[in-house]
Amino acid sequence: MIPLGYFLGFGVLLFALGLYGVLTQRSAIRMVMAIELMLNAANINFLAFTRYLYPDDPRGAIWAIFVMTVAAAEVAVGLAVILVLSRRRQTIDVDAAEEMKH
Amino acid sequence: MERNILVLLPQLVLIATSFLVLAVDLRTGDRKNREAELIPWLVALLGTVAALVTLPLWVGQGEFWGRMWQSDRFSLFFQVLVFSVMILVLLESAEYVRSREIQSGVFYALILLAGVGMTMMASSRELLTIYVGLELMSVSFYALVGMMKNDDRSNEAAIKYYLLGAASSAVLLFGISLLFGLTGSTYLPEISSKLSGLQGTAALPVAWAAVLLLFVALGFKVAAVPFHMWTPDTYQGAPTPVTAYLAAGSKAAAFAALIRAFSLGLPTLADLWQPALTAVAVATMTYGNVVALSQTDVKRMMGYSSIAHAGYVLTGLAIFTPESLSATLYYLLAYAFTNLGVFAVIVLVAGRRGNEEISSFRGLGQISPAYAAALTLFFLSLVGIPPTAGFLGKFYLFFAMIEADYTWLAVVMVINSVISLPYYYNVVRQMWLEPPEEANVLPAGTAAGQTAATIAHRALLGIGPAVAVTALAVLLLGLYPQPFIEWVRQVTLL
Amino acid sequence: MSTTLLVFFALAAISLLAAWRVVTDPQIMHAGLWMGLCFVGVAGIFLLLTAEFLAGVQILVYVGAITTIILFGIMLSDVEEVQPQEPPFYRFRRRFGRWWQPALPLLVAAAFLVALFTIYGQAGWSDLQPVGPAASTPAGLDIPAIGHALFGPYALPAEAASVLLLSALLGALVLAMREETLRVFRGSPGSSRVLQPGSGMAGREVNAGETDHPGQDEKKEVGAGT
Repeated sequence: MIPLGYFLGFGVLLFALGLYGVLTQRSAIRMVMAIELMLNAANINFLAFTRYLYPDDPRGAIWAIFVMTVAAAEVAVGLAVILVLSRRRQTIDVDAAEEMKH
Repeated sequence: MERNILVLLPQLVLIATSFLVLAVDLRTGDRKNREAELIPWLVALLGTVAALVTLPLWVGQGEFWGRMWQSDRFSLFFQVLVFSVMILVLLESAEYVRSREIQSGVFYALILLAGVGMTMMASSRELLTIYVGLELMSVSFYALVGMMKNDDRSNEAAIKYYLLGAASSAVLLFGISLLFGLTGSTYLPEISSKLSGLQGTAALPVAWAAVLLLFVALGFKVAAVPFHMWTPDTYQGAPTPVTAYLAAGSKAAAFAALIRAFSLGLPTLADLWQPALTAVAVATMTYGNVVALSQTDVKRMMGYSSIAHAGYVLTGLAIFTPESLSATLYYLLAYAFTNLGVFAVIVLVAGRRGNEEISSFRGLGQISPAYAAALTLFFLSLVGIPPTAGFLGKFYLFFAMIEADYTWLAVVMVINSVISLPYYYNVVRQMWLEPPEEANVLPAGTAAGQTAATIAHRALLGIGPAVAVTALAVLLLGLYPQPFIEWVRQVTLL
Repeated sequence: MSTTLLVFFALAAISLLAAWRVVTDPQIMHAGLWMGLCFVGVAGIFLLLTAEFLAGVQILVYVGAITTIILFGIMLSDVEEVQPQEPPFYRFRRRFGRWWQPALPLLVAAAFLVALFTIYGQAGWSDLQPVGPAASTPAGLDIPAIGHALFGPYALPAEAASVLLLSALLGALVLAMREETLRVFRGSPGSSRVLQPGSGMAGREVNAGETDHPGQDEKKEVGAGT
């Protein structure tokens, strides 16, 4: 069987990649993606610990479900914020163009 | 079973009110007449007052909903605090929301839902409930901060707050998953007992990592250095009532979660996190005060000031005695009312000028002496000068520090109060000693009298009562603190 | 080397490669697709952990909903890459110059990796084998057990999560809808008027010094026209 350490190691690697992405990316959408990777890493931890250490406790699975729910809600609001920003940038460009004409 | 419902009554009232606000807004949101637009606001305000009124139905200490909800004096304290903050924030937003074309129904509904999240954070010993409450608060705030869609700074503030907030919640989750792996539980008392059993074993470093990650995540929410970078931009860009809500409500709720998690779940590791928290607290207050010195925008200045105050409050947790925790709660109470007062005056002044430059406050002492006097009082409280709430809050913290042999920390705090004096004084000087800028007050031909009339007119819509209530609270907490000190002393956790 | 171990390594390699591409791919659309692949790989890992239900939810929520929303977000925000004017960590970048730009995040991530691997090793988790029979689902990951827990002891957070979804719905709705659409939605008199891209910026006139109620469209038209 696969030892617990492999799953945990995979989770840490995924989290580290996400962390690296959050720290390096300038693009807002890219940062959101990196954050999702970090959340996935936490879920892997919850499930791996449940499987290996606390097989009778549904708590880990419950946490994973909540993380997914909250992540979906967060992404929805976050992308709406990003959308407003991008729309605003476009409007500004249009304005600048119109001012040039006069 | 009834008790299970009864214990959630304030939250249920708030959620129901948010539905009602949305429904009422659909009927009255056509902006045809000014008065109809106030109806959603009025509904939200009445609902929050109703939630506060239901608190005396308190069912007593105990755990409800399995172990998911904890009703005790601590949660009662924070519910009273959060609901009072909400009422004042609503009073401040009536005129602001109307004049900035903010979707009033959704705005008020989100304020109510954020309040539900805050009270959840303070009313549970289970990390899952705390986490969901934290996210409920944060998600509502992401939208609230970005509510002024036509304002670049509001967009910028929202996106920064969102990205850092979401990243910090991912860090929080990873920390919690480590605690779960180590102890098999996310219920704070259970975590605590398991951790004390693990004392001295090789597995304990996992708990250290978890403590670090938890602190990073909650440090973002309370704006502790080095996790403060969202604060100035978000405070400056957000709609002013939302900034007030962030500073008074979200900060208090985050501290409630921090205090619960650290004092209830991780007391066995106190030797480790006490020095770390002390260092962070000193860095936070010093950084906030020093950078605030060079600000020209009042909201940004208040952002740095709120970083500094997060540092003061953190010292209370870092010392970690029953007395210092009571002092922390008292300080949060004093800080919330003082801050709400300051932001009420900012809403008033910015309503006239449309921006929040410190120079906008020029001559406020002539135009409107009452508000200028109130703002002076609030600033005295923020510096910590008697006879105000802030003085007593600081005094109580000093007392706790000296009792716990942390005299040097008290000295650092006094030095910081002195550093903070110039930037508050700058605003006070502009208000009282400089003449008003006639050219910028109103279009040409306007006398100062008319400006005063404009201000008085605006004040009718909530600002006046908000300033009066906060000023009274600041004086009351400063002059007659005994009952409040008794109260926070009873809020025993340990 | 057993088959499960091989499958694990394959899935882990795919997911990590995809995750790496998420943060490095120059094309943001490709990065979004890589993220979907990474989530599929993680779902496979969940299956290896015998968490069938969670694997299904992972596919539905992460691959089906979140990746789709993000791809939609990329397509709807026509600006090539939406950036905050001053990204959150930009001030550090400016202060410390460009040289550490790749170095410091790498250092933070690497330190995190090393620290956690050491800690896990000390805790004795690296070689730990599961208790009980290898292939069967443990009681804690059983679907009925999860359901009973979710609507039993964990009912309160579940209810709170529904309030959270409501809050997110409201927030996303009010932010993402255009002003005109919202006005139609609310049945206001100004709804029939089509706003030009430039005239939707009532905020400026409102800020400039208003005593009148600025929500009226007439005033906005005047303000935008001058």
